[in-house]
Amino acid sequence: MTVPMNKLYRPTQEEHARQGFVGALKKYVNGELERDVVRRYHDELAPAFNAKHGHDATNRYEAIPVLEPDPDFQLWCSTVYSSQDLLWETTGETVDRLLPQFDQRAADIEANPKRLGTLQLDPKLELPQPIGSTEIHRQPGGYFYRQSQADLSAALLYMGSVEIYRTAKGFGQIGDPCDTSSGRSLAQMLSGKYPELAPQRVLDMGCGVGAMAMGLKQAWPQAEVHGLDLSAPFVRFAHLWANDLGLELHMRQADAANSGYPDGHFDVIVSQILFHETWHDKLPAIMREAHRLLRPGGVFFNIDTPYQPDRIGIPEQVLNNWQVTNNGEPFWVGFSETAVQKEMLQAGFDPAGVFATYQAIGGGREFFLFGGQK
Amino acid sequence: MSKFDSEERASIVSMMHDPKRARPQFIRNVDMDKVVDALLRLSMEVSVIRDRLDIHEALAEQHGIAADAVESFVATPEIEARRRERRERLVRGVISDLR
Repeated sequence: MTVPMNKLYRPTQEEHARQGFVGALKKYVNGELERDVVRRYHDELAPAFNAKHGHDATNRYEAIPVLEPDPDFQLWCSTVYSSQDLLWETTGETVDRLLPQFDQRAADIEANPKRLGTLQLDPKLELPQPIGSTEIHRQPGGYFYRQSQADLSAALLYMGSVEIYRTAKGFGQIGDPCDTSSGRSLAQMLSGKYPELAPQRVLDMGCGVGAMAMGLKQAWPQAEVHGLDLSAPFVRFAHLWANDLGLELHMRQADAANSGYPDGHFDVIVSQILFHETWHDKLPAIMREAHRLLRPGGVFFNIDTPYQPDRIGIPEQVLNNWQVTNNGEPFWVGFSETAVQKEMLQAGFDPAGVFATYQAIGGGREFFLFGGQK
Repeated sequence: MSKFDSEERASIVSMMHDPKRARPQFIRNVDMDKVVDALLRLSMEVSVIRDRLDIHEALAEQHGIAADAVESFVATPEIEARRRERRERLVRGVISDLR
Protein backbone atom coordinates (compact mmCIF):
# COMPACT_ATOMS: atom_id res chain seq x y z
CA MET A 1 0.00 0.00 0.00
CA THR A 2 1.22 3.48 -0.84
CA VAL A 3 1.86 5.66 2.16
CA PRO A 4 1.36 9.40 1.43
CA MET A 5 4.16 11.80 2.38
CA ASN A 6 2.30 13.36 5.30
CA LYS A 7 1.91 9.89 6.83
CA LEU A 8 5.58 8.95 6.28
CA TYR A 9 6.90 11.39 8.87
CA ARG A 10 6.51 9.12 11.89
CA PRO A 11 9.03 9.56 14.73
CA THR A 12 9.57 6.38 16.77
CA GLN A 13 8.29 6.46 20.34
CA GLU A 14 11.80 7.39 21.58
CA GLU A 15 12.25 10.12 18.94
CA HIS A 16 8.77 11.38 19.76
CA ALA A 17 9.62 11.53 23.48
CA ARG A 18 12.89 13.40 22.81
CA GLN A 19 11.18 15.87 20.48
CA GLY A 20 8.41 16.35 23.02
CA PHE A 21 11.02 17.21 25.64
CA VAL A 22 12.71 19.72 23.31
CA GLY A 23 9.30 21.31 22.70
CA ALA A 24 8.72 21.67 26.44
CA LEU A 25 12.23 23.08 26.91
CA LYS A 26 11.76 25.67 24.15
CA LYS A 27 8.34 26.64 25.46
CA TYR A 28 9.85 27.28 28.91
CA VAL A 29 13.01 29.17 27.88
CA ASN A 30 11.23 31.27 25.22
CA GLY A 31 8.29 31.88 27.58
CA GLU A 32 8.63 31.86 31.35
CA LEU A 33 12.42 32.26 31.52
CA GLU A 34 12.40 35.07 28.96
CA ARG A 35 9.65 36.89 30.86
CA ASP A 36 11.71 36.55 34.08
CA VAL A 37 14.74 38.15 32.37
CA VAL A 38 12.58 41.05 31.16
CA ARG A 39 11.03 41.46 34.63
CA ARG A 40 14.49 41.47 36.25
CA TYR A 41 15.60 44.19 33.83
CA HIS A 42 12.63 46.42 34.75
CA ASP A 43 12.65 45.68 38.51
CA GLU A 44 16.40 45.70 39.26
CA LEU A 45 18.76 46.41 36.38
CA ALA A 46 17.02 49.45 34.88
CA PRO A 47 16.67 51.28 38.25
CA ALA A 48 20.38 50.61 38.94
CA PHE A 49 21.27 52.04 35.49
CA ASN A 50 19.13 55.11 36.19
CA ALA A 51 20.73 55.62 39.62
CA LYS A 52 24.20 55.52 38.05
CA HIS A 53 23.56 57.57 34.87
CA GLY A 54 20.67 59.82 35.93
CA HIS A 55 18.46 58.60 33.04
CA ASP A 56 16.90 55.39 31.69
CA ALA A 57 18.51 53.37 28.92
CA THR A 58 16.89 54.68 25.74
CA ASN A 59 17.93 52.02 23.23
CA ARG A 60 19.32 48.47 23.01
CA TYR A 61 22.91 49.66 22.61
CA GLU A 62 22.78 51.17 26.13
CA ALA A 63 20.92 48.15 27.53
CA ILE A 64 23.15 45.37 26.12
CA PRO A 65 26.00 45.99 28.62
CA VAL A 66 23.41 46.15 31.42
CA LEU A 67 22.02 42.69 30.65
CA GLU A 68 25.17 40.90 29.48
CA PRO A 69 26.76 40.39 32.95
CA ASP A 70 23.45 39.26 34.47
CA PRO A 71 23.40 35.51 35.40
CA ASP A 72 19.74 35.07 34.41
CA PHE A 73 20.39 36.61 31.01
CA GLN A 74 23.44 34.39 30.50
CA LEU A 75 21.44 31.31 31.51
CA TRP A 76 18.71 32.33 29.04
CA CYS A 77 21.34 32.64 26.25
CA SER A 78 22.84 29.27 27.12
CA THR A 79 19.56 27.35 27.35
CA VAL A 80 18.08 28.94 24.20
CA TYR A 81 21.24 27.94 22.31
CA SER A 82 21.17 24.38 23.73
CA SER A 83 17.48 23.96 22.94
CA GLN A 84 18.14 24.96 19.33
CA ASP A 85 20.97 22.38 19.03
CA LEU A 86 18.68 19.72 20.52
CA LEU A 87 15.91 20.74 18.12
CA TRP A 88 18.13 19.96 15.11
CA GLU A 89 19.71 16.87 16.58
CA THR A 90 16.41 15.22 17.53
CA THR A 91 14.68 16.22 14.26
CA GLY A 92 17.78 15.15 12.31
CA GLU A 93 17.60 11.69 13.90
CA THR A 94 14.10 11.17 12.44
CA VAL A 95 15.02 12.71 9.06
CA ASP A 96 18.16 10.57 8.68
CA ARG A 97 16.14 7.43 9.40
CA LEU A 98 13.16 8.24 7.15
CA LEU A 99 14.95 9.82 4.18
CA PRO A 100 15.12 6.62 2.06
CA GLN A 101 11.34 6.19 2.39
CA PHE A 102 10.74 9.78 1.30
CA ASP A 103 13.12 9.32 -1.63
CA GLN A 104 11.16 6.26 -2.73
CA ARG A 105 7.80 8.04 -2.42
CA ALA A 106 9.18 11.04 -4.34
CA ALA A 107 10.45 8.78 -7.13
CA ASP A 108 7.02 7.08 -7.38
CA ILE A 109 5.21 10.42 -7.69
CA GLU A 110 7.71 11.81 -10.19
CA ALA A 111 7.34 8.67 -12.33
CA ASN A 112 3.57 9.21 -12.57
CA PRO A 113 2.75 10.95 -15.89
CA LYS A 114 -0.63 12.01 -14.46
CA ARG A 115 0.81 13.93 -11.51
CA LEU A 116 -0.90 17.21 -10.72
CA GLY A 117 0.47 20.72 -11.17
CA THR A 118 3.95 21.74 -12.25
CA LEU A 119 7.46 21.96 -10.78
CA GLN A 120 9.97 24.33 -12.33
CA LEU A 121 13.52 24.09 -10.95
CA ASP A 122 16.33 26.40 -12.03
CA PRO A 123 19.69 24.63 -11.70
CA LYS A 124 21.46 27.79 -12.93
CA LEU A 125 19.87 30.07 -10.29
CA GLU A 126 22.53 31.97 -8.40
CA LEU A 127 21.44 32.28 -4.78
CA PRO A 128 21.54 35.94 -3.68
CA GLN A 129 24.03 36.51 -0.88
CA PRO A 130 24.21 36.57 2.06
CA ILE A 131 20.88 34.67 1.97
CA GLY A 132 22.34 31.68 0.13
CA SER A 133 25.13 31.10 2.63
CA THR A 134 23.09 31.64 5.82
CA GLU A 135 21.86 28.83 8.06
CA ILE A 136 18.51 30.39 9.06
CA HIS A 137 17.56 29.24 12.60
CA ARG A 138 21.00 27.47 12.54
CA GLN A 139 19.34 24.65 10.57
CA PRO A 140 22.31 22.39 9.67
CA GLY A 141 23.17 23.02 6.02
CA GLY A 142 20.48 25.73 5.73
CA TYR A 143 17.41 25.87 3.48
CA PHE A 144 19.39 25.20 0.30
CA TYR A 145 21.40 22.19 1.49
CA ARG A 146 21.48 19.09 -0.68
CA GLN A 147 23.99 16.36 -1.28
CA SER A 148 22.23 15.13 -4.42
CA GLN A 149 19.71 16.73 -6.79
CA ALA A 150 17.07 14.58 -5.11
CA ASP A 151 18.02 15.34 -1.47
CA LEU A 152 14.84 16.40 0.40
CA SER A 153 16.44 16.54 3.86
CA ALA A 154 16.43 20.39 4.10
CA ALA A 155 12.64 20.40 3.58
CA LEU A 156 12.07 17.53 6.01
CA LEU A 157 14.23 19.13 8.70
CA TYR A 158 12.34 22.40 8.35
CA MET A 159 8.97 20.64 8.49
CA GLY A 160 10.06 18.53 11.48
CA SER A 161 11.20 21.60 13.43
CA VAL A 162 7.87 23.36 12.80
CA GLU A 163 6.15 20.23 14.12
CA ILE A 164 8.03 20.46 17.42
CA TYR A 165 6.85 24.05 17.96
CA ARG A 166 3.29 23.23 16.96
CA THR A 167 3.09 20.21 19.23
CA ALA A 168 4.69 22.00 22.21
CA LYS A 169 1.91 24.58 21.98
CA GLY A 170 -0.68 21.80 22.01
CA PHE A 171 -1.69 22.17 18.33
CA GLY A 172 -1.86 18.58 17.03
CA GLN A 173 0.56 15.76 17.72
CA ILE A 174 4.00 14.89 16.42
CA GLY A 175 3.42 12.35 13.68
CA ASP A 176 0.57 14.32 12.13
CA PRO A 177 2.57 16.93 10.22
CA CYS A 178 1.88 18.98 7.14
CA ASP A 179 -0.73 21.30 8.62
CA THR A 180 -2.27 23.58 5.97
CA SER A 181 -4.57 25.60 8.25
CA SER A 182 -2.41 28.78 7.89
CA GLY A 183 -3.47 29.09 4.23
CA ARG A 184 -7.13 28.57 5.01
CA SER A 185 -7.02 31.20 7.79
CA LEU A 186 -5.27 33.62 5.44
CA ALA A 187 -7.91 33.10 2.72
CA GLN A 188 -10.62 33.82 5.28
CA MET A 189 -8.81 36.97 6.45
CA LEU A 190 -8.39 38.22 2.85
CA SER A 191 -12.02 37.55 1.99
CA GLY A 192 -13.02 39.54 5.10
CA LYS A 193 -10.79 42.51 4.22
CA TYR A 194 -11.55 42.47 0.47
CA PRO A 195 -15.17 41.19 0.15
CA GLU A 196 -15.13 41.63 -3.65
CA LEU A 197 -12.10 39.34 -3.99
CA ALA A 198 -12.60 36.29 -6.24
CA PRO A 199 -9.02 35.27 -7.03
CA GLN A 200 -8.28 33.43 -10.24
CA ARG A 201 -4.49 33.37 -9.86
CA VAL A 202 -2.62 33.50 -6.54
CA LEU A 203 1.12 33.56 -5.73
CA ASP A 204 2.77 32.65 -2.42
CA MET A 205 6.19 34.33 -2.41
CA GLY A 206 8.76 32.48 -0.30
CA CYS A 207 6.38 29.53 -0.02
CA GLY A 208 8.80 27.24 1.85
CA VAL A 209 7.53 23.64 1.91
CA GLY A 210 4.15 24.84 0.61
CA ALA A 211 1.85 24.53 3.62
CA MET A 212 0.22 27.94 3.14
CA ALA A 213 -0.11 27.56 -0.65
CA MET A 214 -1.89 24.25 -0.09
CA GLY A 215 -4.30 25.81 2.41
CA LEU A 216 -5.04 28.62 -0.09
CA LYS A 217 -5.84 26.03 -2.78
CA GLN A 218 -8.15 24.21 -0.37
CA ALA A 219 -9.94 27.49 0.45
CA TRP A 220 -10.08 28.69 -3.18
CA PRO A 221 -10.34 25.51 -5.27
CA GLN A 222 -11.25 27.49 -8.40
CA ALA A 223 -8.01 29.52 -8.26
CA GLU A 224 -4.70 28.65 -9.90
CA VAL A 225 -2.26 28.67 -6.96
CA HIS A 226 1.47 29.21 -7.47
CA GLY A 227 4.37 28.98 -4.99
CA LEU A 228 7.84 30.45 -5.39
CA ASP A 229 10.94 29.88 -3.28
CA LEU A 230 14.73 30.11 -3.64
CA SER A 231 15.16 26.62 -2.19
CA ALA A 232 15.00 23.72 -4.64
CA PRO A 233 14.37 21.08 -1.92
CA PHE A 234 11.47 23.17 -0.54
CA VAL A 235 9.58 23.62 -3.84
CA ARG A 236 10.22 20.00 -4.86
CA PHE A 237 8.87 18.79 -1.51
CA ALA A 238 5.82 21.08 -1.89
CA HIS A 239 5.12 19.68 -5.38
CA LEU A 240 5.26 16.09 -4.08
CA TRP A 241 3.20 16.81 -0.98
CA ALA A 242 0.51 18.65 -3.03
CA ASN A 243 0.20 15.56 -5.21
CA ASP A 244 -0.34 13.40 -2.16
CA LEU A 245 -3.14 15.75 -1.07
CA GLY A 246 -4.64 15.71 -4.59
CA LEU A 247 -3.99 19.45 -5.04
CA GLU A 248 -2.91 21.04 -8.30
CA LEU A 249 -0.17 23.56 -7.43
CA HIS A 250 2.44 25.28 -9.57
CA MET A 251 5.81 25.47 -7.85
CA ARG A 252 8.83 27.40 -9.07
CA GLN A 253 12.39 27.81 -7.78
CA ALA A 254 13.14 31.51 -8.34
CA ASP A 255 14.23 34.75 -6.71
CA ALA A 256 11.20 36.74 -5.47
CA ALA A 257 12.87 39.89 -6.83
CA ASN A 258 13.17 38.39 -10.33
CA SER A 259 10.47 35.77 -10.62
CA GLY A 260 10.09 35.39 -14.39
CA TYR A 261 6.25 35.56 -14.42
CA PRO A 262 4.57 37.98 -16.90
CA ASP A 263 3.29 41.47 -15.94
CA GLY A 264 -0.14 41.59 -14.26
CA HIS A 265 -0.26 37.79 -13.93
CA PHE A 266 -1.77 37.52 -10.41
CA ASP A 267 -4.89 38.73 -8.55
CA VAL A 268 -3.33 38.07 -5.13
CA ILE A 269 0.27 37.85 -3.91
CA VAL A 270 0.89 36.76 -0.33
CA SER A 271 3.89 35.96 1.85
CA GLN A 272 4.37 34.55 5.31
CA ILE A 273 7.61 35.19 7.26
CA LEU A 274 9.38 35.90 3.97
CA PHE A 275 10.74 39.34 4.72
CA HIS A 276 12.41 38.73 8.11
CA GLU A 277 14.31 35.81 6.53
CA THR A 278 15.45 37.95 3.61
CA TRP A 279 18.35 40.42 3.53
CA HIS A 280 16.61 43.80 3.93
CA ASP A 281 18.53 45.25 0.93
CA LYS A 282 16.38 42.93 -1.22
CA LEU A 283 13.06 44.23 0.13
CA PRO A 284 12.53 47.17 -2.30
CA ALA A 285 13.22 44.95 -5.34
CA ILE A 286 10.81 42.25 -4.08
CA MET A 287 8.09 44.86 -3.56
CA ARG A 288 8.64 46.30 -7.05
CA GLU A 289 8.40 42.76 -8.46
CA ALA A 290 5.14 42.09 -6.54
CA HIS A 291 3.72 45.33 -7.95
CA ARG A 292 4.74 44.37 -11.50
CA LEU A 293 3.17 40.90 -11.15
CA LEU A 294 -0.24 42.12 -9.90
CA ARG A 295 -3.12 43.08 -12.17
CA PRO A 296 -4.60 46.57 -11.52
CA GLY A 297 -6.55 46.34 -8.24
CA GLY A 298 -4.67 43.16 -7.26
CA VAL A 299 -3.93 42.54 -3.57
CA PHE A 300 -0.49 42.26 -1.90
CA PHE A 301 -0.73 40.83 1.65
CA ASN A 302 2.12 39.84 3.97
CA ILE A 303 2.37 38.25 7.42
CA ASP A 304 5.58 38.63 9.38
CA THR A 305 7.21 39.01 12.81
CA PRO A 306 6.01 41.90 15.04
CA TYR A 307 9.41 42.97 16.40
CA GLN A 308 9.58 46.58 15.26
CA PRO A 309 11.62 48.61 17.83
CA ASP A 310 8.75 51.01 18.55
CA ARG A 311 6.57 48.00 19.29
CA ILE A 312 8.65 46.17 21.88
CA GLY A 313 10.48 47.15 25.06
CA ILE A 314 14.21 47.77 25.49
CA PRO A 315 15.05 44.40 27.14
CA GLU A 316 13.09 42.52 24.46
CA GLN A 317 15.16 44.35 21.86
CA VAL A 318 18.32 43.10 23.58
CA LEU A 319 17.02 39.51 23.50
CA ASN A 320 16.13 39.87 19.81
CA ASN A 321 19.57 41.26 19.14
CA TRP A 322 21.06 38.15 20.77
CA GLN A 323 18.95 35.93 18.48
CA VAL A 324 20.25 37.90 15.49
CA THR A 325 23.86 37.49 16.56
CA ASN A 326 23.79 33.94 17.89
CA ASN A 327 20.75 31.98 16.82
CA GLY A 328 20.37 32.18 13.05
CA GLU A 329 18.11 35.22 12.66
CA PRO A 330 20.57 37.60 10.95
CA PHE A 331 17.93 39.41 8.87
CA TRP A 332 15.52 40.09 11.72
CA VAL A 333 16.77 43.56 12.71
CA GLY A 334 17.11 44.85 9.14
CA PHE A 335 13.48 43.97 8.46
CA SER A 336 12.14 45.29 11.76
CA GLU A 337 13.81 48.67 11.13
CA THR A 338 12.43 48.99 7.58
CA ALA A 339 9.50 51.38 6.99
CA VAL A 340 7.43 48.94 4.91
CA GLN A 341 4.65 51.42 4.08
CA LYS A 342 7.16 53.84 2.58
CA GLU A 343 8.74 51.00 0.58
CA MET A 344 5.34 49.87 -0.77
CA LEU A 345 4.52 53.43 -1.86
CA GLN A 346 7.89 53.69 -3.59
CA ALA A 347 7.18 50.37 -5.33
CA GLY A 348 4.06 51.98 -6.81
CA PHE A 349 1.20 50.65 -4.65
CA ASP A 350 -1.96 52.79 -4.39
CA PRO A 351 -1.55 55.12 -1.35
CA ALA A 352 -5.26 54.61 -0.49
CA GLY A 353 -4.77 50.87 0.07
CA VAL A 354 -1.33 50.63 1.70
CA PHE A 355 -1.49 49.41 5.31
CA ALA A 356 0.71 48.07 8.12
CA THR A 357 -0.90 46.79 11.30
CA TYR A 358 -0.66 44.23 14.12
CA GLN A 359 -3.17 41.45 14.59
CA ALA A 360 -3.46 38.22 16.58
CA ILE A 361 -3.86 35.16 14.36
CA GLY A 362 -4.83 31.58 15.14
CA GLY A 363 -3.70 30.68 18.66
CA GLY A 364 -3.56 34.30 19.72
CA ARG A 365 0.01 35.23 18.78
CA GLU A 366 0.33 38.69 17.32
CA PHE A 367 1.75 39.18 13.81
CA PHE A 368 2.76 42.17 11.71
CA LEU A 369 0.48 42.46 8.67
CA PHE A 370 1.22 44.78 5.77
CA GLY A 371 0.24 45.14 2.16
CA GLY A 372 -1.68 47.16 -0.38
CA GLN A 373 -3.45 47.21 -3.72
CA LYS A 374 -2.12 48.04 -7.15
CA MET B 1 25.77 12.33 -13.36
CA SER B 2 25.42 15.48 -11.28
CA LYS B 3 28.24 16.92 -9.24
CA PHE B 4 26.45 15.68 -6.12
CA ASP B 5 26.10 12.01 -6.95
CA SER B 6 29.65 10.89 -6.20
CA GLU B 7 29.64 12.24 -2.66
CA GLU B 8 28.66 10.08 0.27
CA ARG B 9 25.81 11.57 2.27
CA ALA B 10 26.64 12.92 5.74
CA SER B 11 23.84 12.40 8.24
CA ILE B 12 22.17 15.45 9.85
CA VAL B 13 23.08 14.11 13.30
CA SER B 14 26.79 13.86 12.34
CA MET B 15 26.63 17.47 11.02
CA MET B 16 25.39 18.59 14.45
CA HIS B 17 28.50 17.04 16.07
CA ASP B 18 30.97 18.60 13.60
CA PRO B 19 33.71 20.34 15.67
CA LYS B 20 33.27 23.40 13.42
CA ARG B 21 29.83 23.87 15.03
CA ALA B 22 31.41 24.21 18.49
CA ARG B 23 29.12 25.87 20.97
CA PRO B 24 29.94 29.45 22.12
CA GLN B 25 30.28 30.01 25.87
CA PHE B 26 27.60 32.34 27.23
CA ILE B 27 27.80 31.77 31.01
CA ARG B 28 30.84 33.58 32.37
CA ASN B 29 30.85 32.29 35.94
CA VAL B 30 29.98 28.63 35.84
CA ASP B 31 28.76 27.53 39.25
CA MET B 32 29.59 23.82 39.21
CA ASP B 33 27.48 23.15 42.33
CA LYS B 34 24.38 24.23 40.41
CA VAL B 35 25.36 22.07 37.44
CA VAL B 36 25.78 19.09 39.82
CA ASP B 37 22.33 19.79 41.33
CA ALA B 38 20.71 19.85 37.91
CA LEU B 39 22.53 16.74 36.67
CA LEU B 40 21.65 14.75 39.78
CA ARG B 41 18.02 15.79 39.51
CA LEU B 42 18.00 14.61 35.90
CA SER B 43 19.71 11.31 36.82
CA MET B 44 17.15 10.74 39.56
CA GLU B 45 14.26 11.36 37.16
CA VAL B 46 15.76 9.03 34.54
CA SER B 47 16.18 6.34 37.21
CA VAL B 48 12.56 6.78 38.34
CA ILE B 49 11.36 6.41 34.76
CA ARG B 50 13.50 3.30 34.18
CA ASP B 51 12.09 1.63 37.32
CA ARG B 52 8.54 2.54 36.41
CA LEU B 53 9.07 1.20 32.88
CA ASP B 54 10.33 -2.10 34.30
CA ILE B 55 7.02 -2.54 36.12
CA HIS B 56 5.05 -1.84 32.95
CA GLU B 57 7.15 -4.18 30.81
CA ALA B 58 6.81 -7.00 33.36
CA LEU B 59 3.03 -6.46 33.61
CA ALA B 60 2.68 -6.37 29.82
CA GLU B 61 4.59 -9.62 29.45
CA GLN B 62 2.43 -11.25 32.14
CA HIS B 63 -0.63 -10.25 30.08
CA GLY B 64 0.79 -11.50 26.78
CA ILE B 65 1.47 -8.12 25.13
CA ALA B 66 4.24 -8.31 22.52
CA ALA B 67 7.16 -5.85 22.70
CA ASP B 68 6.36 -4.28 19.29
CA ALA B 69 2.96 -3.14 20.61
CA VAL B 70 4.89 -0.26 22.23
CA GLU B 71 6.07 1.09 18.87
CA SER B 72 2.61 0.99 17.32
CA PHE B 73 0.91 2.61 20.32
CA VAL B 74 -0.92 5.89 19.52
CA ALA B 75 -1.35 8.25 22.47
CA THR B 76 -4.74 9.89 23.06
CA PRO B 77 -4.91 13.71 23.36
CA GLU B 78 -5.35 13.21 27.14
CA ILE B 79 -2.12 11.21 27.35
CA GLU B 80 -0.29 13.80 25.21
CA ALA B 81 -1.52 16.60 27.48
CA ARG B 82 -0.37 14.67 30.58
CA ARG B 83 3.07 14.17 29.01
CA ARG B 84 3.37 17.84 28.11
CA GLU B 85 2.59 18.81 31.69
CA ARG B 86 5.19 16.35 33.04
CA ARG B 87 7.92 17.52 30.62
CA GLU B 88 7.27 21.15 31.49
CA ARG B 89 7.53 20.38 35.22
CA LEU B 90 10.89 18.64 34.67
CA VAL B 91 12.27 21.53 32.58
CA ARG B 92 11.19 24.07 35.21
CA GLY B 93 12.85 22.04 37.99
CA VAL B 94 16.18 21.58 36.21
CA ILE B 95 16.44 25.20 35.14
CA SER B 96 15.50 26.44 38.60
CA ASP B 97 18.54 24.47 39.90
CA LEU B 98 20.78 26.31 37.45
CA ARG B 99 19.60 29.77 38.49
